[in-house]
Amino acid sequence: MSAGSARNDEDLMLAYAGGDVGAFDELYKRYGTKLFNFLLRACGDRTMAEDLFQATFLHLHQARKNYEAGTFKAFLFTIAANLLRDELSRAEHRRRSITGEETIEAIPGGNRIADSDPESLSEAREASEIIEAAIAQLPLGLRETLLLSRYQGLGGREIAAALGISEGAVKVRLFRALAQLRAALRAPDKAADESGNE
Amino acid sequence: MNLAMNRCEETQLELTNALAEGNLHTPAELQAHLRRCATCRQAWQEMRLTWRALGALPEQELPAGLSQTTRARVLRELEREQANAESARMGKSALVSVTLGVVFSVASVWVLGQKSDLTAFSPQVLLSMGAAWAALYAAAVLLAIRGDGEPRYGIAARWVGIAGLVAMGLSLALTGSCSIGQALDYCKMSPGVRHLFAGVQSQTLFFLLGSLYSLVPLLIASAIVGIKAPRHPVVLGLMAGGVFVLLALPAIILQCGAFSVGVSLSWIFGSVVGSLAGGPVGSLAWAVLYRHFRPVHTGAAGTA
Repeated sequence: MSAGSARNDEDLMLAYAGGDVGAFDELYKRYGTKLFNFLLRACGDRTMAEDLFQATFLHLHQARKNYEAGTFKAFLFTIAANLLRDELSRAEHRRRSITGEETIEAIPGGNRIADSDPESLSEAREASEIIEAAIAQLPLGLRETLLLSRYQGLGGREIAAALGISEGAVKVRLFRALAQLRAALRAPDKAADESGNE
Repeated sequence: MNLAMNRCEETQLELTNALAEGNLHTPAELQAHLRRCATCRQAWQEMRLTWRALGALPEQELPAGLSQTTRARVLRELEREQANAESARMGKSALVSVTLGVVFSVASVWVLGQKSDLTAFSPQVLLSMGAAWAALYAAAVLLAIRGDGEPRYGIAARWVGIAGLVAMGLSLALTGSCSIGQALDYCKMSPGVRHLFAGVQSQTLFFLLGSLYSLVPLLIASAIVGIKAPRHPVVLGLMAGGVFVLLALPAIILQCGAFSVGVSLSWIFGSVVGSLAGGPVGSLAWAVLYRHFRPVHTGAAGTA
């Protein structure tokens, strides 16, 4: 067991801010995959997620001396969420300037629902790609709130700080995100019923 | 109807957050509502299933190439910053060392000027000697400032530099109080001790006094290496003696302006012998004393 594995995130971050490479390695080991999954699900684009992943750690490195209090996890995901919003905003601006209009986002697994029979739909409901697709359909604000809560285990206050919103707004976003996911996951049932009646 | 809807929404909002916080012990008020409201019961059931399904999503592996590239970039940044910081620290240390070197050199020449006739040297020679002395002082100060805080092989360079400088300070104080010339006069003229040195040659006297004037400051100053870095007291004491000899050399040369080469060499040789004896003997003695007294203290603390 390495010495770093016994230390908490906050101590490691302070050590890293002081130039401890071992502390950085331990934090990187703990949060690399989590951050990558957050970014991948939040932006839905692998290339963008990879760019944002690098940018987040480089920003963390630059901002490490500003770290004073609070959980490291919240600090890291605040940086990631800010970069994500900036990048998505830039991407949206680029897309609009090129096409001049809105386009419908391609949802993975979207066609499968309409083409399948009720039995396979029932299985598909459990399939991760449908849930991934439903997450991808959420508006960014709801999506990042849900991801930070469900996958990173951040509390209401930490999410509020990370996203620059109130704790009340976090609660509402979480409620709406879950309501929309439920609706999206219920939809295959309706599609199955409709195809069965025809 | 609206009131009922709001109540349901409020209930579901609280339930969502209870789920997110991992707090499944819902308040009695919410439970009462759930018992009465089939819609909220259904919603609560769906929420839990959805939450569980979300948790069951497989985690994507972090691509190895991305992981390595990112880590390498961060470490490169870290190395670059550390190199910049180190060079800034080194620049600051060099500035402090040169400044102190010049100050010490001027002060040393002034002290010697009070006791010795420096007019035997031309201003150019004096200036060159002062500059060389300043460089030696600067090197010793740099050693004291930048020497290893965590000594490698037990060699605490910092304490060697500090001990050398302190010994030089003590030596100058000694010279300022009673120069070797005055001590020599005392040996030759004082009725009490004159007979002791009656048959002794000048060169031998200079050797003895040169040894004494190095030995005494080093026996005192080597307490620093004996106490602060007691792992290799003899080696460190020798090194402190070496630093002192280098620092004392310009002082000896400046004081020898009026003496013969033989006398000057005797003095220098005596100084070297005194330094190389005083450094290790002093640091060893202080280290032994320190070790002797320290366990008594820690032992008492340990048994308390």
